[in-house]
This record gives sequence, C-alpha cells and structure tokens, in this order.
Amino acid sequence: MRGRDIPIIVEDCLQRLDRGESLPDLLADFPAQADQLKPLLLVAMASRAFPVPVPSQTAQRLGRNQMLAEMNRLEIKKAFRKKPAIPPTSRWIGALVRAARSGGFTRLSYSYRLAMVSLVLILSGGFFTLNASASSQPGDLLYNLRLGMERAGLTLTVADQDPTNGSNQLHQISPEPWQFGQSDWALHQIYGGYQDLEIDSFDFFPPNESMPFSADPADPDLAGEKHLKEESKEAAEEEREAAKDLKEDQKAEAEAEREAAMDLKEDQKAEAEAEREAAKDLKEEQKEAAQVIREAKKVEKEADKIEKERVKDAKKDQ
Amino acid sequence: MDIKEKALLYRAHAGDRGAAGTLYEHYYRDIYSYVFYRVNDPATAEDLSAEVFVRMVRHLPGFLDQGKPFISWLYTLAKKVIQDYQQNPKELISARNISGDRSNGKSIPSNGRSHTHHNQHALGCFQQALQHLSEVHKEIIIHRFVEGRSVQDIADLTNQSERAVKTLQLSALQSLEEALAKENCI
Repeated sequence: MRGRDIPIIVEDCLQRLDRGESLPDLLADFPAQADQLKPLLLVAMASRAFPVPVPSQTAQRLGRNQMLAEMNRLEIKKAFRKKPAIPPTSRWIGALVRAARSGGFTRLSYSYRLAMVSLVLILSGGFFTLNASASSQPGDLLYNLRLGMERAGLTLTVADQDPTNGSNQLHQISPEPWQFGQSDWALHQIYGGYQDLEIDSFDFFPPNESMPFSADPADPDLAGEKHLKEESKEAAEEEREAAKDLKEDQKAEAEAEREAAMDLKEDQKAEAEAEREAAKDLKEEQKEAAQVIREAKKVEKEADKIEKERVKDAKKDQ
Repeated sequence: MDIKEKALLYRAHAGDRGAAGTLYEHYYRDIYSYVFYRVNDPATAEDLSAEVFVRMVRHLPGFLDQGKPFISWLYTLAKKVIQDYQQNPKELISARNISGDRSNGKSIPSNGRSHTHHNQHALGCFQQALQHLSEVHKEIIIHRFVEGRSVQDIADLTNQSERAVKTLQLSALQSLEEALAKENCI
C-alpha cells in the first residue's frame, strides 16, 4: 500500500470497527501500516467512547423562550418599520425598467427604440447643461445660457400676475409722489398765473413770518423756487423707487410663501403616498406569507400521504 | 433538505412559532454538543446554543436553500457565535445568572454510554486535548467521533469532497494523538 492511501485505509478500518471486527484482525490485514494505524485507531476508538453531552431541561426551555421572544421582537419591529418614500424619479426609472423587463420595450422596432433612446439622451443632456449653467459666472461658456434662462423666468413670472391687481397696486402707491406734483402746480398757479391777485388775501403764512420766496420771476429768489422744484422732483423720484423696491420685496415674499406652501403640499402628498405604499406592501407581504403557509401545509399533507401509502405498501409486501 | 424540513422553514419564516419550536427541538442537541466540545463548559455551551437559535430566527429571511442540510447552516451560525464569544465573552453570557438549575460548569449526563469515574477523568482529558487542535480538526473529530456522523455526511455539511474529509480525518487523529500525549492522557 502506498503512503497516499493511508486516509482511505483509516476510514476503511473505522468502518470495519463499526461492524464489530477486532483491532488485531484489522492490523493483520495491513502489516506494512500496522505501526502507523494502531495509535490512530486507538485514539478514534477512545473518542467514540466519549459521551454526547446532554443539556439541562431548564436550559433547553430558556433557549426556546429566548428564540420565541426574538420572533416577537422581530414581528413588532417589522410592523413598525416604515419604508422610506421613493423619490418620483426612481419610480419612473423603476417603471421603465419593469416595462423593459416585461418585454414591452423589446417588442418595439429598432428605429422606435433608437428614437426613444436618443430623446432620453437629448433631454437628459439639456437638463444637465441647464443645471450646470445655474452656477456659471460672467465669462463662462454657459453664462449666456444662464442669463437667457433668468430672463425667460422673469417673463413667465410677470405673465403669471393678474394685470388688474398690478394697476391697483400702482394706484395705491402713486398718491405720495402726486401730492408733490399737486403742491407744485398750486404754487405755480398762485405765484405765476395769478399775479394780479392780492397776495396778502391768501393766508398761507402767518403774518409775522416773511414769505419764503417771491412771485416775481425776475426776483433772485425764483432760483430758490426752481431749486425747490428740483428737490421735490428728486424726492418724488426717490419715493417712487422706494415704493418700487417695496413692491418687489412684497412680490418676492409672496412668491417664497407660495413656494413654501407648494413644497409643504408636495411633502404631505409624498408622505401620504409612502404610507399608502407601505400599507399596500405590508398587505402583500401578509398575503404572500399566508400563501406560503398554505402551500407548505399542502406539501406537508402530500408528504404525509405519500409516507402513509409507502407504509401501506410495505405492509402489503410483508 | 427534505420537503417536510422545507415546509417547516417556510412556516418559521412566516412567523409560525410552532414550526420554529419544532426546528429548535430537532436541532438543539446537535448544536449543543458541537458548542460544548468547542467551548469546554456546559453552562457557556447552553447560553451559546440558545444564541444560535436566536440568530437562526433573525437570519432566516436571508437563508438560501443550496441543497445542503439545514444543520450545516446552523453549524455556520454556531461557529460565528463561538467566534463572537471568544472575542467578547461578557456580551453573550449576560443572562446566565437568571437560569435556575442549569449545569453551572458541572459534569454532564451522557447519552446512555457508560459513565464511570474513570470516564469522567478521560472526558476531562479529551476535552483538554481537544483545545490544542485547530478549528478544522476539532470540527472533524466532533462530527465524526462524538456525533458519529459518516464521512459522506461531513462532506455534505462542510461542503468538501469525501477524499478531503478522509485526509482531514487522518491529520485530525494524528493531532489528537499528539495532544493527548501532551496532556498525559495516554
């Protein structure tokens, strides 16, 4: 016997020992390997004499309870597990993948498939370019695109507004600058157009105070009047600008509020959708589990039936 | 894996406590015996065996039927539990004090084999010698000689060829002989 066969000889000897043959008889069959085999077979025989340990009943019961407690814990965890909301983009991709898997995509002709793929590539390319242009700076290649997009956005924003509402706002803001115009016109009428009237008959100023300017155009104080007019105009202009700024601020605020409300609505909608889906999934899981149990029981019954028939046949044969 | 075992697994997976209990009753002793000879302490073996079944229900959803016996998967779990215990003993043996009449490191009853004072001494010697062996050799000795499994069964359990198991058996016996001599058992 060659050395590489020793493992097979050992296994052969172990099987023969199990069948009740004695060790000297076995060693006599392998005289060349007897010295090598003897200690190994003795160790194997000694190992077989060692007891299979038996656990205490309490430990067994405790172990079982621990296992069942873990099952309870897992069930509770599963019941309270909330699936994360699936973003709409992922849902669309999933729907596309499902459609492709179900064969709907492959049934289309080659040209249609090519057109669809090209369309997806063009749209996604455009989307990514627009996204990239949003952070571009003056001098960048995509800066013009960004400006164009901003202009288009502004146009759309103005178009969204109600024109009557806009005019009302203008009307509400106009009185302040108009008051300056009115006073300007009144002064001009009083000191320019109606020079023949008795100035003293107008009680615009208290008697102990001199008039701030003269009605005579040749009067050097007329320059002061012009200066005052210019100042009034400037003040009116400033106020108009301030009103315009205020209007823009209010508009931006209203827009932000509208967007926040829309976001909130979308979030609530997505949450409700996720909850509906989680409930649906849970129902499906429960349905599947019930189906699995039913099938398992059926299989078990069939196995029992086969076993019974086999026993019956065996009895008949006897 | 036979069809009844498969049905039990499906039911246990679906949350059927009766099915899980049947699996527990069927495999507990094999797992306990395996763990006992690996950790050399009855009480620890009880705790770790219980942990194996806790992990069984935890990981049952991830179990894949690859045509191997179910117990080979349980042995894999047991190996991991023993490994975790060796790395951090306190974590897995926290519940020992709550047990009542548990083994508490005392000698164990046998399965009907003769059990004299001499055998008690020999058992202690064997357990000590076993600790000198590598994990692979320990596994072969336990499956083949303590549990009395055939070479074919072990090949199925360990996913190896019969030839490889026979070679491992030879080297395991040689290592055990050396270890027994070291412990002055022979």
